[in-house]
Amino acid sequence: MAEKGEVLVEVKDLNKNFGVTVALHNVNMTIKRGEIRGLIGENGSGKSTVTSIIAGIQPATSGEMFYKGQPWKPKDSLEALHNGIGIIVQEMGTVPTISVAENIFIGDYDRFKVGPIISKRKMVEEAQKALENIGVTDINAARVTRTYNMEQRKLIEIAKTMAHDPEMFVVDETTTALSESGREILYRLMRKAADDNKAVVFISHDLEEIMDKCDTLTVLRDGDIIGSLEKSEYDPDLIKKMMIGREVKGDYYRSDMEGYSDEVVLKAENLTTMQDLLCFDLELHKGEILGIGGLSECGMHTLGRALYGLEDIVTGSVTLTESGTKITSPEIAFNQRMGYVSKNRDLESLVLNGSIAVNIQSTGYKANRGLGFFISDKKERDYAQLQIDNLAIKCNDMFQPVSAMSGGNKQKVVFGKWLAADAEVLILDCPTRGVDIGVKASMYKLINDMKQAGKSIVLISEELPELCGMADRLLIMKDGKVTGEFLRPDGYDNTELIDCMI
Amino acid sequence: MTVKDLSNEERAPKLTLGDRINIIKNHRFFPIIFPLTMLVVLFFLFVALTGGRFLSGSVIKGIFNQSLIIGTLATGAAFIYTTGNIDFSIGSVMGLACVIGAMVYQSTGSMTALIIVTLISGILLMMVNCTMGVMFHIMPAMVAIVAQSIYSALCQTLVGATPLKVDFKTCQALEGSLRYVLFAVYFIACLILYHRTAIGRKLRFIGGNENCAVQTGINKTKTLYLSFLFAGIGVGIAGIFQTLRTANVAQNVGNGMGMNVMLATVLGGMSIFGGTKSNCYAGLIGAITVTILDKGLLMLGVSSTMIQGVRGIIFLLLVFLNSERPKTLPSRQQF
Amino acid sequence: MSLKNLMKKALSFGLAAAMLTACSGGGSASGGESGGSEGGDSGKSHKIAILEVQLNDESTNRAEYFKNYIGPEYNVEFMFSEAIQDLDAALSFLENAADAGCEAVINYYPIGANTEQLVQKAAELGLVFTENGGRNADNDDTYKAAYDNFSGGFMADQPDTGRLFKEWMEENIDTSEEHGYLIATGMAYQGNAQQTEISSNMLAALEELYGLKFDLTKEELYQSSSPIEGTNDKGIAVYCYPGGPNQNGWLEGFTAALQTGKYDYILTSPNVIGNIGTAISELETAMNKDFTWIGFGTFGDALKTAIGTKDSFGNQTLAMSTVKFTSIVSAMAFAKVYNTLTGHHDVNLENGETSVNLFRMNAVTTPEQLDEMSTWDQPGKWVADIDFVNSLIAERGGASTNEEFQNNIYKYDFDAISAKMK
Repeated sequence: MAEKGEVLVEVKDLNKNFGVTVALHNVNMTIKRGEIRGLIGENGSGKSTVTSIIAGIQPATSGEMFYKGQPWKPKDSLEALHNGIGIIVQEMGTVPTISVAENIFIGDYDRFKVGPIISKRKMVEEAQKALENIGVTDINAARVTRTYNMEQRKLIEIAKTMAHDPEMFVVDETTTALSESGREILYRLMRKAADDNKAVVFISHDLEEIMDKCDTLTVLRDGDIIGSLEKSEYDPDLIKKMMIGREVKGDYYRSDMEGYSDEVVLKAENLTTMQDLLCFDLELHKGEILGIGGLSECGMHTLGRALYGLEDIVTGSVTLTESGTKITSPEIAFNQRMGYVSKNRDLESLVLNGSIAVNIQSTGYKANRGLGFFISDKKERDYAQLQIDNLAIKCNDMFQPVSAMSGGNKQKVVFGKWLAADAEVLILDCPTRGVDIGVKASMYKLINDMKQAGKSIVLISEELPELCGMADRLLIMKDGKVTGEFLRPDGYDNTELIDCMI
Repeated sequence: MTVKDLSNEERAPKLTLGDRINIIKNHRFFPIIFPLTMLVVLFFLFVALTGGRFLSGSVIKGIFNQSLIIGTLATGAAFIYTTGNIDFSIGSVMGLACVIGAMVYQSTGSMTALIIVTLISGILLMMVNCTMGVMFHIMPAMVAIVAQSIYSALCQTLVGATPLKVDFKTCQALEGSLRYVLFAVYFIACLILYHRTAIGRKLRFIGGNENCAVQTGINKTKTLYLSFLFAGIGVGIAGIFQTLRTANVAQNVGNGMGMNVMLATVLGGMSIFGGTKSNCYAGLIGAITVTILDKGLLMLGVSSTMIQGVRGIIFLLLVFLNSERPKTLPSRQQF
Repeated sequence: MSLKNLMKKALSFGLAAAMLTACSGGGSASGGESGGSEGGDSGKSHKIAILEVQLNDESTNRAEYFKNYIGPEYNVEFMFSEAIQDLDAALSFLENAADAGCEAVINYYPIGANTEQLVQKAAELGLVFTENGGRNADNDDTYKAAYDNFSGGFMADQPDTGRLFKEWMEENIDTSEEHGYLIATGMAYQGNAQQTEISSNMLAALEELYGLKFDLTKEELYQSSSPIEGTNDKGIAVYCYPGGPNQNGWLEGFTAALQTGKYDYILTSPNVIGNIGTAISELETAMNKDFTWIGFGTFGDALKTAIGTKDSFGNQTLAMSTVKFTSIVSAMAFAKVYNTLTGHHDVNLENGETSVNLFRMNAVTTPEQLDEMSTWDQPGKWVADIDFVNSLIAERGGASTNEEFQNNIYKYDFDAISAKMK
């Protein structure tokens, strides 16, 4: 019988590189039975890479792995799963167009063979059981997977992994896709596995969550294991320091109470869009950070788009008060020195295949003119280099494509493009989404600097702490309407805010 | 607890040959330098193999003659490809422009009229293509399919069995002077517009990410029209060159040229799917490469069937080396 | 990564190999050239380019004849084009041929109106030029002008081909029985000479056989671009069906016309032997009707099948066809440019104008006849042997005038050929 503390998986000198990019560098790690091992690190630190290699999703460039004392080299994730190592991935791990049951037993249909025919009925029964085993009752295993929402699909994936009763399973940043109840299910499964002397590897961005749930914690940075901590050694500031490689203050929001001018720069009146917004009014003042919060579907993202002229407006208007210009298209908004950072960074805010330079320079076609209509190469290079330097964008040169950069660095490029444009009014929709702590801190500093420089900012966010930390004024939205307005000097009370949201 | 210090560690990864090639390939100057190098290498290879005969005036002139039409078309088409749109009806558009020009010539007898009408027809027809795409929100590639068959049918109906004749002595006279001037003006104008002004950058940005371009204040409709306008000018000019060269306009004029333009563009090192690495000279380089290859192999006495094979292999190699590589880490999405 | 490497290596290896072969091929060719000039009896070697319009059995046969039969004998090197599809490509090939050292071009691209332009282009490039085609309203002036580098045209004697069909009809159709005629007029409406002559002769044969008079003129019937009934005073069912199998819906329309049951004689002027044979056999079985079919053809499997297969009534599917010997046509073309190249350009002139020379097609009516003929025109057994070619070449003591040239071709008729081949 397996004993607690026995080494289940051992990884020796594991290396992985994608071209010149080193994803893992001589990683050594042991995973023991009976433990929940946390992996933490910034984006691109290699935590997902190392677990995906163990779980057979991709091969290592070099190095060895041992599983139950035997050399371990799974050729794909199914082989790994059948041998007892499962993974619940960050991305979508289900096929939307097939049934839930087929997803749960993918690659394993043969076990439901009755004669030459696969018995759907048997499979559905088994799948239903597998779902019940993890405590999910509201999913019908016979239905097509795409009829379920993201959270339910994640649960289906969890059921799929657990149906194989794995010796070890990896949970890779899954909890962000789950609601409270979904998380509870997952935490219970993790705990139970550890109690049964199996092993769990848990990857999360959420420091609190990881400290709470894990028995030991391994910190990675730039493809290297920086160190491991026992539960008794947990200290948020120390962990952050290990992750980032330098001291990070516990509080990285702004601490001042400085106000803003009375001058209204942007005004939305009676704004009604095709969906979400109905007769919405809003005023943004010069030098103000206006926070907008609420649940994801409350209409705040639509508001952000509408303010920048990206939504079809049914009635009402968005006006820049100084010039009296009505914002009806992003072209007008841009020409009036507004800027917009989309929530979908990779899809909307960046040309991924383009270089850092191309992305930053995109706001400067007018500014970088040399002679007549011709663009000056030198001006253009300086335009980009200035932002790379100011924002400390990590890169070899400005000609590096942004696609290979980490989330935080990418977001810096997006900010750089608007800083370079010297936008007076900035609509920031979830500017720190998918950005790691180090970059987050510098983003907040930037936003504050812009405020100091008299820029006006609309900060839309799904994270309350961020809004509370940054906003001068905070609007909470629900169903396309403002349900509460709060002012920084009064102090923000979390329960009050949440009450307005739901 | 241990905390590792990373500062002084040797971290250069072991690079495979594939990695090294990829590094070179992803260098920002690669798409410019590589096709040009291939072109020059091919040229001098043939110079050496033909004992210098490849340097003769008639060969150089022949290369220019034979790559001019596709090169001009491709220079124009680059404006469209850049935005991520594919319009392969460009050949039939040129054909129809030639036909209209030749018909006007036949009724007026004026070469000037032919030149002006061909040019304007090219521009207007491309504008029609663009409008169909923009107004009805049809993908330009779809528009191209429809346009191609409509224009070819029109050419067939208008021309009939006997090609429209243009006095070829006049054509011959104009071939020398007018062509060089017209081509030089157009090509240099394109180079400047494309690489030295906001227009080219906007086109590339749209090709890179349309959503992002719109959010960066670029007017998509206006820019698309501009791209079709410049392409239209190229089509019109290519049409003029076509008529001057053949001194007649047959009903099949322009057939299959759309595909040759794409091929030339790809051989010249540009992706026909556009994006920020696009340029407007790839098509010309590609067209010249094809011509040099054809001419050189023929001069070496390679049989025509062998030429097809060798050309195929070289195309494959060029396309393979020119093709876009994923620069991101491979996605872990497994299903 | 390793797979990519492998692919890369394979590709570069392939390329290197191809280049090597290409170079060595070039080397050996030029080696052959110099060797030839020492051993050849004509002293000077020549290089002739062949501009092909499509690559098929015929062009392969032609290449074989030129390269391995004519080449060594006359110390001539041949260079063949890829399939040339438009005038632009034809001009490019001319330029490339000149750069590659060719002195003459034999052109199979149907240039129609553009003879003058190509002749002048060829002159500019220093090339002697001959075309597969003849005089028409558009190029009449070019033939009149008698350019020094223009060796003229060569083509089938189309009226003679038409005559073969007419004769067959007059001998084989029994007017006492009731018959209906479906005539495929092909591209006669676009002026195709072969199809015009055949269609017109077929209609003429009907006029003479029945003594009938069409309501429209014969020209109106075969020049119609849409199907048309040849209504006439004798009430004979005649249907002219234009177009070719490359056009959409052509075959469907053709079979639909047969299915009306009005027509039992199928007379085809374009080469559709390979396209309608099956359809006819199927219809014969389905309709229990015996169709009789005659039509223009070329040597090949399709013809062999059509003539060699008995239909459900025990008759040949194709009762009669006409064929040509590729080597004869090739020999004419070669002789024309060779005469100009060797200083006997006047052989190509007729009354001071550039000549068009003609060859006659041969009728074939039985499988036995076809079998025998198809063994003839092949390597080792070319119909146009050196004797025949020499009879067309002034330098070798052959024809010294165009009249003689033409007569020597006509003299070598089917009887003469079969006598020689046996």
